[in-house]
Amino acid sequence: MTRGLLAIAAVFVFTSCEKEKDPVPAQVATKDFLVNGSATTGNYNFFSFESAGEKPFIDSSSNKWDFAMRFETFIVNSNASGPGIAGVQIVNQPFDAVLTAPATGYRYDTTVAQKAIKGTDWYIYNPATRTFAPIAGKTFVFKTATGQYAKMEVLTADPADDLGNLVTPPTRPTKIKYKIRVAYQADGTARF
Amino acid sequence: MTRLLFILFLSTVFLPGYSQVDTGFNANRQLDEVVVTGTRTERKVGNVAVPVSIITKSTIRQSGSLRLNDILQEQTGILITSGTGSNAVGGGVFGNGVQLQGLSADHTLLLLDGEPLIGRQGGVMDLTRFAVGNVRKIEMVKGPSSSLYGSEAMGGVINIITEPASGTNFTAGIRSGSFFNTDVYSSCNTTHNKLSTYYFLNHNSSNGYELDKTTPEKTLDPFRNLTAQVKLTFRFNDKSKIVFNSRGFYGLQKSSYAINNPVINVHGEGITKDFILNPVYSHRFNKQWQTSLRLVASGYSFVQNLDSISNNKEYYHDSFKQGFYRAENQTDFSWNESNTLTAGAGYTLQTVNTTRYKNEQQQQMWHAFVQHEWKQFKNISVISGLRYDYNTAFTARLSPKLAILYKVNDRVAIRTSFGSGFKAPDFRQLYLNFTNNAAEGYSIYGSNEFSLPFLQQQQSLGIIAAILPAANSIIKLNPEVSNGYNAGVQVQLNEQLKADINLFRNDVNNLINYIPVATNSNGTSVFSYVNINRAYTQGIESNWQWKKESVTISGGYQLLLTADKDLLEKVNNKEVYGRDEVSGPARLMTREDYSGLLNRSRHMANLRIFYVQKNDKWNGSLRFVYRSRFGVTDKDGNGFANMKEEFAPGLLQVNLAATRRLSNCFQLQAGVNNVLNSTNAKYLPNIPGINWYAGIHYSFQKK
Repeated sequence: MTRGLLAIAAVFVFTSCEKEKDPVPAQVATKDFLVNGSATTGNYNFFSFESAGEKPFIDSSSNKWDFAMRFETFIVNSNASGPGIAGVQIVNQPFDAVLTAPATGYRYDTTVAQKAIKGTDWYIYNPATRTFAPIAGKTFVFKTATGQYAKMEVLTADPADDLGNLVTPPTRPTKIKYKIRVAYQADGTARF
Repeated sequence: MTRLLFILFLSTVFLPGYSQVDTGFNANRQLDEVVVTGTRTERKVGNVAVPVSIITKSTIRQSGSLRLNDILQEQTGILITSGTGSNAVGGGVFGNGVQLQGLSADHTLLLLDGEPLIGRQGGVMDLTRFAVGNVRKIEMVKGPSSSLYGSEAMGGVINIITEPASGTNFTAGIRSGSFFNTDVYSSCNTTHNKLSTYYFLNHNSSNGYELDKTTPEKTLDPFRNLTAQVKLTFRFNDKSKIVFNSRGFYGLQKSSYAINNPVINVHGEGITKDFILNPVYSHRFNKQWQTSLRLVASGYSFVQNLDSISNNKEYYHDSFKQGFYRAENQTDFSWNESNTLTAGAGYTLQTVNTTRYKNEQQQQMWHAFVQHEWKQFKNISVISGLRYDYNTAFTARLSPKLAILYKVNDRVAIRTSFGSGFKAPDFRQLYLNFTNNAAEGYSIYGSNEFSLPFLQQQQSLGIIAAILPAANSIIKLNPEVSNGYNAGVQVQLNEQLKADINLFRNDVNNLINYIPVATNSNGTSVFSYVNINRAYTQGIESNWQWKKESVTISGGYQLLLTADKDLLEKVNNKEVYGRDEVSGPARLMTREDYSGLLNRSRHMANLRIFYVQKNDKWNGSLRFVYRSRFGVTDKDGNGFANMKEEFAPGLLQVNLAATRRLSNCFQLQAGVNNVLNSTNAKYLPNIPGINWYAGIHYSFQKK
């Protein structure tokens, strides 16, 4: 009983302390992210929340990146995929409604075959038109490669050529052009 | 061309006259028109309990229609769905299909003289394959009719009835117009004693058209279609006859593509062929008994070959071959004036062979049906029916029907009916075995090709990362089924004005869709087919017609509301999000945001004015056809159209035609279609821009 009261008191003190600090707003940005359009061959493209942009392939074995994509395959910088400690989970809420990153529930690329994110988690693929639509209201919440918090939503995913111009059948796409919205919290808290 | 027309024009003036074949516009007599599609027996349309409508030959002629899609798209409640034009390399939707009561194009049964047409690709029967120059009338039954016709008759039945072989007459004509469109046709009926012969020949070609000048490809590439029909009728005596109907079709569709290239670098052609051989023997024993034996052998093939222009090497090859063989007996027994029993049974063999399936696939089907028509007190008619379809490839199906007609008085008739419809799983849903080895790398297996042990083996090889729980739900597919309810009133308000209104509701279950069943190590998915979706379509259809002397004005309107039931439930449970702009923020979707199934227009309307001069020297028509906006795509992954970019805008088409009778034999016709030049290159590539035509028609009939 006493222990319980103590715990409640501790939470109260902790939260009131937090409230006194001025929250640092997360940095929000909308970015184009052009990735390799082949599901099977070629390199991934790497993204860093800290710099809100792409990282070159040469950084792939560092913790300078948080997640990477090839076609619609999604990897995070941890375990089988990289040296970082990045984890991710998909929250069923709009991007703007996710104000705090959950404390638990993050998934990791435990093995090459068991990746944190499956394609069916966040988009609908239409084999007839060969297009895929990111599902609105799915927000990716990340623990980054260096242990900070970030969130992301995929706005669009379009077949494109090497220059990022959108293409339609019968022209075969060589790239997928993603438009993503990201928010990065640099102050170490889980608030956005 | 122009010179040829001019010479023809001059020559007509000096030719002696014969009596004409065509009768004037006869819409007012439609209640007395005999129809067969509603009950599989000859009945006056005013006495049939199910909703039936007719398009007469004169309407087709006065509208200047050449192909089936031309005339169907002007009818109330009929929506022509658009394929991807000639610009579909193997994939996408094929051709122009027909939607009835909001059910998709693969849920409408198309019949030619009562026999099912084959050659659906991606579930769609391309209506441009069918010339209408040999059509006597088109009958349409709305609502599920599988109790008589079996598979595909979910939204309704469209029966194309060609000219009978009887009498002696001859027609020929030529017409030319925009896009170098040329149509040449001829038909002939001859009778010698007991044998009548009818033939029809049509050649239709076009250079295609361009709706979007920013693409190097044409919207529709050049094509030519050849149709031939021969029908023989041999009357043994008053009681017995045999009708032998045969049709052949050859269609050549050019294709050219700019693939990863600013100019055309791949070209080739697709060749469609079909034939039907259909002998029908019928015998009337006496007033009470008659029977008929119907045999059908039909085939369809589509072969597309595309080559790279630079090296002449094959770029793409696709072939699809289908065979359909059926034997069926139908026997009618009228034991008194108020009771008619119709019963039938048949056997069907279907084969299909394509580059996308492993082997030739076969399906055998047996069916039996019975229908009872009961008339009482001269104003009540009740039809009840039941059909059983058994099949080697999927589960069996029982389809009931009940329809009641009550004539309140001479002016008012009430119709109400319930019917059940089904569509057998199509070949791709059963037998597709396809892995896309290009960029995407996904696989799709038909339910009969799907194998869990195979997936497990792939998993042990590391190709598949995870088998999803859904993989255990892949079982023998059930047919897609619908239950339809129709209730309507038809009123003759006065000599000139008549109107009808019909309410409909179709509950569709077991819709087949693909679902992901496994995830490949590279992140792509493996798909297979399951009975998963439930939907409804409901609405109101209303038609009215006003006719006085030489003018007939008719109008029609359909309100259509549709939903994927499971998706609607999720929306109501506040589980579905969407965006208002392509890259805008996501928000919770409400019932008001939910727009229903894709490719459905909520409002459809038409207004048609037909004018026939008293001595029939002139006739003309002005027709307006409107469809409101419709959802075409889903950009925010919620399964329906909600943002502006996910809709195609509404479209109004205005068509004009005028016919001048030069003599008893010769008619000149000219017209302009799509006067307002309403087009949508991306989502309605089947609708060309403004186009004109002019032609001459010759007809001769021996009295």
